[in-house]
Amino acid sequence: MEFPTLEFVYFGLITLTLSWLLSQTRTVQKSFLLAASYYFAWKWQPVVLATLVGSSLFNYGAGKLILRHHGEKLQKPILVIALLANLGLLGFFKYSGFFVENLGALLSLLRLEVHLPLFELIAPFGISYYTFQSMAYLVDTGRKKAAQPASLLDFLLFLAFFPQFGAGPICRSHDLLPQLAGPAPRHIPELSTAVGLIVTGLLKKMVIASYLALHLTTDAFLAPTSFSSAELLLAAFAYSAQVYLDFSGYTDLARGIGLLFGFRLPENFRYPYAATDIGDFWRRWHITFSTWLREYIYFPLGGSRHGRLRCYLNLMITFVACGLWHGPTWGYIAWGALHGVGLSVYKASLDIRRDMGIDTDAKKPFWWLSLGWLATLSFCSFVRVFFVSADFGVAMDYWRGLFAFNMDGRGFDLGVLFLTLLTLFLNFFGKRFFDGFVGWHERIPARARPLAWVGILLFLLTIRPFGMAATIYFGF
Amino acid sequence: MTEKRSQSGVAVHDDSDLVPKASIWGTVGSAWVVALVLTVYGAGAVSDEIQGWERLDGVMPTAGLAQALEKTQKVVGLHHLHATLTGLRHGINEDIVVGEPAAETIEPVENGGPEIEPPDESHPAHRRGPAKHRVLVIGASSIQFALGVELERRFPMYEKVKVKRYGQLATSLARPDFFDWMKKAKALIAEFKPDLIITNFGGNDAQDILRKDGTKVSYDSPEWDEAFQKLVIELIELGRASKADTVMIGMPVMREDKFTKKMKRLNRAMQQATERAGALYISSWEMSSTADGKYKTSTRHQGKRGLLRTSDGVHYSKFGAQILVEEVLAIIERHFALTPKDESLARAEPHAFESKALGRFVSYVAYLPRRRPAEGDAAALVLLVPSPESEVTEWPHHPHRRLQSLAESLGHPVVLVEPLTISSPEQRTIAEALLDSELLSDLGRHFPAPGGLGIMLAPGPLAEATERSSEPEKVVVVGGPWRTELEAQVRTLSAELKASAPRPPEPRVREGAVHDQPE
Repeated sequence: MEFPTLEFVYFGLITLTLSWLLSQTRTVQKSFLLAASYYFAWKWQPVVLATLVGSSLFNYGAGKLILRHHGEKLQKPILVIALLANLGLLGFFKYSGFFVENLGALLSLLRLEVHLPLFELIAPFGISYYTFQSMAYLVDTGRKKAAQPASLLDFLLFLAFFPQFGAGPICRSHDLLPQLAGPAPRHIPELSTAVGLIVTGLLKKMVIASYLALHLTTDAFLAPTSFSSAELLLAAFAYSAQVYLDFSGYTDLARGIGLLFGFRLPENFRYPYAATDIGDFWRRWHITFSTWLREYIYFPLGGSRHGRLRCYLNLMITFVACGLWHGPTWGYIAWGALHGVGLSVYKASLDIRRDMGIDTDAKKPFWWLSLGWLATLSFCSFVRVFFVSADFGVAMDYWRGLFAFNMDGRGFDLGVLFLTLLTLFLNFFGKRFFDGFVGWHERIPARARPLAWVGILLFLLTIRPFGMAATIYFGF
Repeated sequence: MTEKRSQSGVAVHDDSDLVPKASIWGTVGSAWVVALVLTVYGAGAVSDEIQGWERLDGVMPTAGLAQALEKTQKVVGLHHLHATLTGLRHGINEDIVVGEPAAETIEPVENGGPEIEPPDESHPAHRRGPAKHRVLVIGASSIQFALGVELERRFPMYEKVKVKRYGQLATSLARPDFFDWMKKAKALIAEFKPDLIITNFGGNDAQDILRKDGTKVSYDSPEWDEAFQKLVIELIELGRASKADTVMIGMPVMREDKFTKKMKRLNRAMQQATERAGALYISSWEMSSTADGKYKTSTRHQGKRGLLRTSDGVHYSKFGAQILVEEVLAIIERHFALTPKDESLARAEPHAFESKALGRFVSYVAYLPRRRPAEGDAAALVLLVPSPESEVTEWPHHPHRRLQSLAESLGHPVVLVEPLTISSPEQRTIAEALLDSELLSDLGRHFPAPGGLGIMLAPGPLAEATERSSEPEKVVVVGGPWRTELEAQVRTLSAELKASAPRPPEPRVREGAVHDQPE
């Protein structure tokens, strides 16, 4: 059940209506929301529901055990076992095929012909997100930093709440559990913000991202040899725009829908293509995930506390893990590793400048920021070639095509160029438009709002392309 | 409204100063109104979607609901708005492309003549088979993704072949209101001027068909098969009007049994229509199913084991597409006599001559070696005349390729005639006329063989006619199915021809000439 579909609209409306009808009794309302969320999971595939329920019950029990044995010798082994169990679940569904395939290739290189079983396992929808959410809860519980669920029901809903369980935002315990424990709000919080987020999400995902995917990027990264060098150059930036619009559009929808139900979900993107260096980019891109990596991998490895070389190594490990989280392919690993290299080089440049007595925090001139912006955007876009290509062979086809300076392609799509530039522009000025929209919506009389909503939606339905690209981050 | 930050940096909105508070029931009620208005507005698309909700079909009559929606749309007049905005949507989504490649003129094959030679008054008409140089690959999601990409990647391995792929996911021949494939195909054909069109449709076609007059043919009705066949034939005819041949690739077995049944019905209809229209249908069913006809998950290919399909159990994985395309190309290559860019393989040229004896054109493929014969060598020619039982097309490991390889290694042409059936009481006379006056005469005119002609025939009337003929120097009648042993027999015949070929005169050494012979 993708978000902007008829099925989802009516599922959401029925759930919304009944949820508010039942809001007088908070437990009944939450039980209903849990049932609706489980229905949503079951609709993808029954195995999605089974793994979600199993994982939730296990992690709830593990959390309770960690709390009970807090400060005792048993706490650490329980935490380690619980974390390994979570990683095992994720590894089994997501990485076993990759492991077996590469082990087979390695053995045949060593001339050991072994017939390993071939798995056709489909990672249950959302598993990467709720497993990471659970692991964060367990570690925070061990550190006594986690907000604790008031009941099993709250914990189950914390992991399953349907607007966010499929592709995040990856909520930490204090993001959602206190909201679940409190009484039901007496009104819909920030309706105009919710409407703004939903409209923005639809515009980003259903209109612009789909246009870019259907008119250039899907084909360009499937068969780069059919495109000219100029088209391939545009495709790299257009795909960067698409992946941002698709994922942040989905997040906007999730946050907007969450608000309609009375819950605030954390923000995941803060205009990442306005970043002027790679460190800045990762503070703005997939924020809940990058925060997770920082808190639960980079810092525990020692962060920057054990010398420079160790810091660069920690960055590399963290970003290879980041790549691997996206999926079991060498392309994702290469993408993560290249970001690790990029961040290490950036960090080393900061260290060297500080050694030279340069104040790296001082205000930078405009030309410096512009160069930094262009370098960051280009780096992120070109490194994504490994992220989007089906394998290294296709990625190499892309690079060969890009540097062949060949003019023989399908034609340069000006619509794609315009929308790519528009996306970059909105990374700088989008907030003004969004705030303007929220203010305008606030001023519309309540009775006229349905008319305004119909008008906006008709506009979006009219300008959208024929066909909608699948949500990229649902695949992770 | 103010914004605070929690310890974790998460934005927490404080709505205590939000005025006025949004009323829950006002908002929820408005959301319902908007949803219902838009549902009626998009009644056509909505009714398609709800009819696809098979689970709902047992609970409520989805067809009735769909009809009611479309009726309501007309009653409230929203269909006018829908038509206007849909027109606008088409306009907005027009490609704005610069530097689009212009359609090129088709270049003749090297050493070749015109595509179709004009009939020669003094001889039976001869045609050089139309070579395939511009391949258009069209279809739904499988063409947009793995299958299409693999076809696009592999076709340029043939000499002078250019490919254009156009795939559009979630589209079908059945629903021109959503995506008009006939219109699109016509535009693509006019723009690219293909001589071969490869298509793969069907995944989204197992649904009600919308006819041009606006009426629908229910998928559950017996008329559906005929309506679908009409669409297939219309597509093939579109290509034919521009002198392009069409190949329809059938749908594979699906993971879901219900979907598999639908595809079986669709494939049957598609195959019948394709063959009726004189086009080539290639099945993907066998490749995608196990020995007992079930969905095949994985297979081993070229030493690698991999999954055939993506996780949805519908689309091909890259690995699966590679295997299918290999099979598809083997058939297409043989059918249209394509020549790979491979120096070790002879060129293939399709030819045909008008046989008055049979009252139709008879086709043959000439495999012409790339390397020139050594100076002074008189080129021989081996003619293969199979019978319908010869199973020459069933040779293992790519017969077309093997003949190309054989001709190149022999260094002289090898000609394969189509399997011929003569079912007339006067078969003896016909066979003699066909062989002597027509086939050998046509070959002699187009492929003179001063080094001698050898014929290998399958048993039958033509073999009997040859025995009486005084024309060929070497005639071998090969009994039984023509399988791998044929290759060895061709080699032997070729060697005999070369051995008995007239020797070129000894080079005379001019007086005083320097030569490198030892003293």
